[in-house]
Amino acid sequence: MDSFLPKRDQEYLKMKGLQYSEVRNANRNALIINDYPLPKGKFNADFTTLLIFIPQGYNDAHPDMFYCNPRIAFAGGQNCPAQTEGIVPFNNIQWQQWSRHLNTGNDWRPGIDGIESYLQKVNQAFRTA
Amino acid sequence: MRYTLTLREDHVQALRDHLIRPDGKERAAVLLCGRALITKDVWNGGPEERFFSSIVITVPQEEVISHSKTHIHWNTTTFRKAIKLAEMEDLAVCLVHNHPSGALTFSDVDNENEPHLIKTIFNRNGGDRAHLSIVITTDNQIFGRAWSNQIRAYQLDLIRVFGSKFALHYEGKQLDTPREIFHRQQLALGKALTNDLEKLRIAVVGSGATGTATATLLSKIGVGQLLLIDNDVVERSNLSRLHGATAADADAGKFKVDVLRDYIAGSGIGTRVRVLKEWVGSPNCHDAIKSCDIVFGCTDDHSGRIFLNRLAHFYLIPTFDMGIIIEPDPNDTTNLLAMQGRLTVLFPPNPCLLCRGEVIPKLATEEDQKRNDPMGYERLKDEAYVTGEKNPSPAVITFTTEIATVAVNEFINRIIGFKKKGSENSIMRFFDRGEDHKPGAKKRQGCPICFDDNYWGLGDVQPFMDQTN
Repeated sequence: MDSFLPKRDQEYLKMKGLQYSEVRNANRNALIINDYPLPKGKFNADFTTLLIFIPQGYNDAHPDMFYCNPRIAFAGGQNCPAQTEGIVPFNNIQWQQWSRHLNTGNDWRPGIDGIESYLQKVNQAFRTA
Repeated sequence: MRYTLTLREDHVQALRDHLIRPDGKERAAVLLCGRALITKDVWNGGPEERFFSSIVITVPQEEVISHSKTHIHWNTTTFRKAIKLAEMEDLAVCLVHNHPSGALTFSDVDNENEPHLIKTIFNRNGGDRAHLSIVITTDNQIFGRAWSNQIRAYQLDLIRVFGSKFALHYEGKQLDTPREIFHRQQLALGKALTNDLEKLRIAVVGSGATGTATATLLSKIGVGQLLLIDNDVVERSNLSRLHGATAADADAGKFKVDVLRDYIAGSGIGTRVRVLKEWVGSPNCHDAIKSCDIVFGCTDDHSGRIFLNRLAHFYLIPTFDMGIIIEPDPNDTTNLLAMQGRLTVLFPPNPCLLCRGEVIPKLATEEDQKRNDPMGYERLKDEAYVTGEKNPSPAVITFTTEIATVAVNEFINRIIGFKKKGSENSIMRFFDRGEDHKPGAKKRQGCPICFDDNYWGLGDVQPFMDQTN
């Protein structure tokens, strides 16, 4: 399958050496990154599988939220971070929905921002959970 | 194979400045071109290969061995550098020279020399896709041919020069076939316009209030080929705004494009209309919209505008994008806060829709989810995350038809130049104030679409238009 990501994103993901796949399923494009690192010791795991839906018109349009599998809880308990209760099925897997949204205009520069900047927001969401 | 070429006006100017000098001698240049393959022309069937001017390289005077009014001999130093660059950037090579005499056919000297140069390109760069040669005359005519890898020449069916003015070059441009229907229009706008319009393929994206007005006007002035794109059906609540639609169409659940096609075909002007019942960005539309010369954007969805914004730059398709803003005053139902129509002409080097703030990326993201994950979209709506859903926006047929007229007039203006002040890239019509503004815009630093020129005339790339489709 040809990549659905803009060239710059493809180069970035390769440059970072991330283990990723691009999945098209039921009309949706998803970027799935394996072994994505979490802040050490904060959660019940130090790595996750991260899913980001890539909308048509990306990277002028931007992604919304992100998803993890398996479900992430805080270390030493069952409590999950706020706004992660949603469960969304994709590609035969149940994904934990992290409802984190961008503010238009401030958080996304259409055509300029990409996976690199979105992952920074994901990392920030993990840090501040 | 139909071969065509689109040239940016500023490239043609740069070529003319180099080629056409007071000494009246021949000179040479090389133009590197992006390219696109259209597998099936929706009007005539068959494939088209289209080329787009990208880089102008002039052959300097010291490389000219001899030249006169009817010939040029040059050494190939610059030419060899150019074909190397063409290989690196995956571009086609277009040989350019001038005919000071104005001759509109390739000379015997051309026919002898060009095959050697073309063979050199194929030998060095490989590949089986065509390269080109064109001639520019002192009196502004351009003609040319495509060379296959068998070193066979095929006449370019159409050469478009786009920018603040549109010029079309094709065989039969000078023919005078009187058509009674356009007689009075010709009295005002001249006969040449009729041939140009008949040659053109124009997409109208959106068959709502603005789209039905635009398509009807384009047909009536004599545009030969129209492509209508819309995936919506007629409803009774649309009838006061759609040109050509009836209550029977609404009750039968007919697609807007089908109703509009039949309405236009029924008028007997002779416009050949094709329709696509798809969202414009759908991969099913790519081939057909690439085969158009010009686009009118009459859609109110943000993801559609994002698509057209890129299309205009990657494929050098001038796009007349329209919008209507009628904003009720929430505190006073008798008052309106805004009553405006907007026309923006998308084409390099104008500021793009993103830099003009005419696209809201968040809404494009929501539209994508609504199209491709309707269940997820409903869930988000339930959680009150979605901002896009509002009451139906106000609309009035006189305003939408007026902005359609503004757009079609600017299109005509680019061909024949009837406006004393030249072309207008941006018009904001204030219906309530009876005046037009021409808002400028600043390109955002680093905007890949209009600030940088890497995408301009790039043609086919993977992924399509370097974005997610």
